[in-house]
Amino acid sequence: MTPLHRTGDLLREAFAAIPLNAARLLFVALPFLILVWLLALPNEQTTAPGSRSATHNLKWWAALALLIQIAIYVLA
Amino acid sequence: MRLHPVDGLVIVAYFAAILVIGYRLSRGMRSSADFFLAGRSLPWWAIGMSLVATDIGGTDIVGVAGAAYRYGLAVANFEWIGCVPAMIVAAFVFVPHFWRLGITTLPEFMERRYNPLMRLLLAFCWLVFMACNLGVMLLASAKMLLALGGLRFSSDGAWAALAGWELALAILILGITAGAYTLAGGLAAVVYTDVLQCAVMIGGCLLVALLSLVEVGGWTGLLAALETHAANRAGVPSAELILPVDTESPFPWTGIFFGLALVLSPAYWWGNQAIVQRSLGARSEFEAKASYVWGALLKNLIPLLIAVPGIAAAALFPQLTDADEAFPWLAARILPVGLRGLFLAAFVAALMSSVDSYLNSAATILTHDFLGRYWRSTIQGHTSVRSGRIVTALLTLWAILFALWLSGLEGATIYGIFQTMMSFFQGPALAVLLAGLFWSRATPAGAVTGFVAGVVTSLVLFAMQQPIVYQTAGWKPLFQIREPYLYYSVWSFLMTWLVIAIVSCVTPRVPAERIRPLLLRGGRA
Repeated sequence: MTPLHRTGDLLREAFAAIPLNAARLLFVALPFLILVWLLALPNEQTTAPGSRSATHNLKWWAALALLIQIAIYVLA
Repeated sequence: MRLHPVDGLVIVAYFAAILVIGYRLSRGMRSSADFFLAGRSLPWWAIGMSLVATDIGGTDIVGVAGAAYRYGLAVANFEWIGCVPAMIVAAFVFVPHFWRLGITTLPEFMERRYNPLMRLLLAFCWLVFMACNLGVMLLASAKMLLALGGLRFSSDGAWAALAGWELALAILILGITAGAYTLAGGLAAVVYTDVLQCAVMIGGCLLVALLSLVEVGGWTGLLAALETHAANRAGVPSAELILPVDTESPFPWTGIFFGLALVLSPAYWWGNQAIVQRSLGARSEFEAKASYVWGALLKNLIPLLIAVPGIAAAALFPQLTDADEAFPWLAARILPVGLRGLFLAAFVAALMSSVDSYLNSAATILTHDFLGRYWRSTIQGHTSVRSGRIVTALLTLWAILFALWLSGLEGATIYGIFQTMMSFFQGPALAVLLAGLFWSRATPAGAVTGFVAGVVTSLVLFAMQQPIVYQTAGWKPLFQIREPYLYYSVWSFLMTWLVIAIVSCVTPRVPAERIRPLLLRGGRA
C-alpha cells in the first residue's frame, strides 16, 4: 500500500458516503449555474449585429438546451 | 444482416452523393485559409451538424449501444452532462475568442501565448494521437461494416479471388473515399459531407430507436421488461443515469461529474483541434457561436437515438454474449428490407464523418504547425493548398497501411487503448489552455513543465493500474473501477495546474503587452 492507495481509499469512502440524491444536485447545479450566467450575458454578445428579433438571440436557444439538461437530471 | 438489392442502391447513392459534394467543393481553392478553414465561409447550421457527426463515429454507435446494453442509461451522460454544458460555455467564451484571434490551430495559440516548445509538444501529442486513431477508426469501421453488411466472397464464384480479402477491401474503400473528398475539398468538403452524414445518421438511428421501442411496448414496456429480467439474473442494465461510487460499470457519478463533465468534456469541446477547427472556419463570430448552440441542441437527442436501442436490445435479446452486437442485432431483426440499406448508410456516414475530420485536422497540424512553422514557404498561396493535399494523401495512405497492419494483430482492445491515450494528455492540455487564457502570470516555463508533469502523472496512474505492476509490488489496484480513464484526466489536470502555479511564480513574468490580447476576462478578450 502506498500513500496514493491510502488517499484513494479515503476519497472513495468520503464520496461513497454522499447520498445519490445529493450527487444528483451537482448534476443539476452545473447546467443551472451556466444558465444563470448565460441569462446575465448582455444581448450584444448573444445576438447577430443589427438584429433585434428574439429568435435571433442565441441566449434563448442555449437556455433551451440547458433547460432540457436540467429536466433530464431532475426527472431521470 | 442480409441486404436486398434496394439496400445496396441506397448505399451506392450515399457514396456517390458525398463524392459529388467533395468534387464540387474542390474548385476555387487558392490559399491555406481556403483549404484548412473553408475560406472562413461556413454557415452555423453546417458547422453544428458537423460537430455532432464528428463526435459520433460508427464505432461509437456500436460501442455506446453496447455499453447501454451492458450497463444501462448511464452511458448517456457522455452525450448530456458530458457535452451540452461545455458546448454552451464554448459558444460564448472560447469559440468567439479563438475566432477573433484568427488562429488556424490551437498549438498556434500556444506559441503566441507561451513559446514554440509548448506549440511543438501539443502539436506532437495531437498528431500522434490522430494519426494512430485514424488507422484504428478505419480498421474498426471496416470490421463493423463487414459484420453489418454481411459481405463475404464465395471461394468458388466469379469473385473467388477476393475471398478472404474482404477486410482489406473494406479498409481500402473507406480510406480512399474519405481521403478523396477530404483531399479535394479540404475543411469545406468535410463539413458539408458531415451535414449529409449527420442527417442520414440521425434518420437511420431514429428509425431503429422508434421501431425498437414499438417492439418492446413503449418506455413503460421497456422498464417492465428490464425489471422482469432483473428478477431472473444479475447484470441487467439500469435505467439510472447516476450510479454509485462502487458501481460495477466504468461510470460512477464521481468519474462522470469530476472526470467527464469538468475535465474531459471541456478539454474536448474547447481544446480538441478536430472539433474547434470547424468553428474557426465560420463566416462570422456570431455564426461560430450559433454553430455550437445548434450542436448542443442536437446533442440532447443523441442518447435517445443510440443508448435507448441498446437498452431495448437488452430487454428484447437478453441472451447476447457480446454487448457490441446489440445494435446490429436489433437492426437486423426489426428493420424491414430496404430500410436496412438506410441503416447501413447511417453507420457508414457516422464512421466516415469521424475519419474525414481527423484526417483534415491531422493534415492541418502537420502542414501548419510543423511544415509551415519550420519551412514557411510551404504555406504560401497555391503551394499551401498543394501541400495540404499532399499531406492529406500521405495521411490517408498511412491510415490505410496502419489499419492493414493492425488487422493482422490480435487487438480487440486497441480502440480502448487509444481512448485511454487521449485521456493522458487531454487533462494537461486543458489546464495549460485555461492558464493561458485566464491567468496572466502563467509563464512558458510553467506551461511546459506543467504539461509534462500532467502527462507523466497520467502515465504513472495508468502503470499502477496494470496487473503486472501492482501484483509484482504486492499492492491492490489503485482504482476500483474498470477502465478508470476518467480519473486519470482529473488527477493529471490538477497536477498540471499545481506545477504551472509553482513554476510560474518562480520564473520571470511575460511582458503584459505581449499577452494582453490573448487573455480572456469575463468572456471578453
